Parts: sequence; C-alpha cells; structure tokens
Amino acid sequence: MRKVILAINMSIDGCIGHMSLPAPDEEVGGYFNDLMHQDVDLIAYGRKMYEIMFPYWADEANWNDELDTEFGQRITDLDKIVFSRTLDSAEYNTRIVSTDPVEELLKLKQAPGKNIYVGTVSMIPQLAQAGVIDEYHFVVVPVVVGGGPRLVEDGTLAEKLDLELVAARTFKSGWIALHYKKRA
Amino acid sequence: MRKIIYAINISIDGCVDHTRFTKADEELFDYFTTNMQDIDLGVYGRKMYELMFPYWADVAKNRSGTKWENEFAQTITGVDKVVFSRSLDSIEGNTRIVRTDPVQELLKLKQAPGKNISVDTVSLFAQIAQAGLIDEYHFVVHPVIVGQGTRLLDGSLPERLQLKLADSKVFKSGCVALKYVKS
Repeated sequence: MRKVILAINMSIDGCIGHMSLPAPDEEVGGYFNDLMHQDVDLIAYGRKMYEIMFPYWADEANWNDELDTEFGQRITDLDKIVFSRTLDSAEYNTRIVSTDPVEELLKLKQAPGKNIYVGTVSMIPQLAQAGVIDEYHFVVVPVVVGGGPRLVEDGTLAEKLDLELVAARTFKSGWIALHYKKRA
Repeated sequence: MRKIIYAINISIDGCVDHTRFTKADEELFDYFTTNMQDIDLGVYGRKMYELMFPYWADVAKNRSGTKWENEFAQTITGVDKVVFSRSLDSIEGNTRIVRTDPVQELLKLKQAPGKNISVDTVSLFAQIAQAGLIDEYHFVVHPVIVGQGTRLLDGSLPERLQLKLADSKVFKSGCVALKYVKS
C-alpha cells in the first residue's frame, strides 16, 4: 500500500513559522529533495500551502541554484491534489479535491501508485490522528522560537499521538532529522 | 566558571507535561544520573521542586524503586539545591530557599566556585534563557506529539534563541537526547 509521508522543519520547541526559522542549507535541502524523489508520485497540499508553493515554484525565474532548480522542477512536474472548497481551478498537474481530506487520502492510499507526500500544516492534527500519515520527518532547527504557528496548535489533537523512532540523522549545520513512523 | 545546564523532557511538538510521556526506562535514568556527575547544585522553581521532593528523597531513603531509579534518587537527593519561592517557609535538608530575582541569584552562583549548576524548571526558562544564562541545553525528545498542556515557552522571545548542536544520542525507547550549547 502507498505510504503517506510528512516532512517539515521546526524549531526545538515545535514552532514551524517559516518566517521564524532560518533557511535550510544545501545538505538539508538535499535531504528534502531526496525524500521527494524517493518513491513519491503525488503531493497532497492544503489550500494555503499550495498557494505558498504555486505559482512561485513553477516559475523558472525563482530557481536560483541547483537545489532550487531540482526542487522546483520536481514539485511542478509531480501530480498534485489540493484540498479546497474555494479554489476554482489549478494548474501544474493539480486536481482540486473538495471532499473530506481523510477519506480522500485513505482512498488514494488503496489506489496503485508510489508514496504520497503531504504539504500542509493546518491538516497535520486531523491526518495524524486519523492514522493517515505513515512516516514523519521532523527536521529540528537549532533554535528556540516560542511563538507563531506550531506543529500542533493547542487542542487540535483529541489525544496524544505516540510515534516510533526510525532514525536520527545529524547535519553539519547542527540541524537534525528525526524520522518517525506511525505506531503499529 | 560554572556552567548552567538546562535539562528537560519535551515532546516532538514542544510540550513539557511529563505525565503525558511514556515512563522513563533504565537507559534514560542512567543518562540523567550520568549527567549529574558534573553537577553540584540543582535549581528549581517551587512547583517543580514539589513535584520532585520529597518523592525522590523517599525513594532514595527506602530504596523503593528499581536499581536505576534508586541510583537516580540517591544522586538527585544528594546534590545541594536552591528553590526559588516567595511562599515556601522552610525546607529540610540540603535545600536553600531563595526569594530574590532568579537571574541575579544565578549570576552570583555562576561566579562562585563549584561544579556545574542544573536548572530543570519550565517557569524559569524564558527569563534565564533570554538573559543568556544558560550554557548548555539538554533536551530529551520523547516520541510523542502531545498538542496541549504546558509548553517550553508560552509566547515569543523578543529574539529567537540560536543554539549549536553539540551531541545527540538515540535511546532504545525512541527518545532522542539533544545537547545544544549557546552559540
């Protein structure tokens, strides 16, 4: 069965606002690119994240270096779905889904294909709690932030979610990727 | 000069209510006990102090825990302690009550001769981290997303705290110990 994979940068204290985190260096960027290349053939976005990513990354003018080019090219080419009740149309191999994200992803997991990468922040609690997400890659940035958007906002998880650590990988920059999977 | 070491258990998403974590196993107790070898003063806020004592002092006295818990209990009970509180009247044993400003007191203690100082209190974190008093941060990340309860920080710091990863260690339980130093 296809796996659903979440990968995100966050501070030591669980803050994820990209404005409050430094930009990843080449090594960390490469880690994310590798994840995106390994056995992924679909990205599932929330509406907000989709609008942050597109059309920005589809525009070659924004590909400033090799990593950007690889990333921009890859996510533009990949099939995508975006969960939204408001969007009318979307370009770049994107299908709009206005039904329940959990149901849709459970259905997609059963369909043939490679793994599914989720690009969303607001849907994390919902998807995690429903057991839709199989693998989690949290890349911990060596900063403490204290405010702004969090991985999980207060009260959005009905109960705590125990995960199983798969691996930890340290980068030269002191960022560290903590790779977990869903508890069986 | 003595180092101030801030040590805490934390969830993946930055929550620190230890009752929501899986109980510490042998390996984790051993880690905490080993880390305390270079410590000769433990600093607590009132609430954290009352969570820890007399509980651990009783375990140490009665040898009522597992081998690992007993060793931890003995170590943590044996270390001199300071508790910041305006309401506590008196405390037995090797603990001193301090009613003045934690930052001032810790600055003074840092200058005094001795081994390192451990601080394990959430409520003191923002204040002393911002004052640049913490030299090392020992986080043990538990493999759980909690999403509620007390967090390491409840609001933004005026400036994000930039740290440097010094060491990491993976435990069988799936906990990961991350050691950072001030950058």
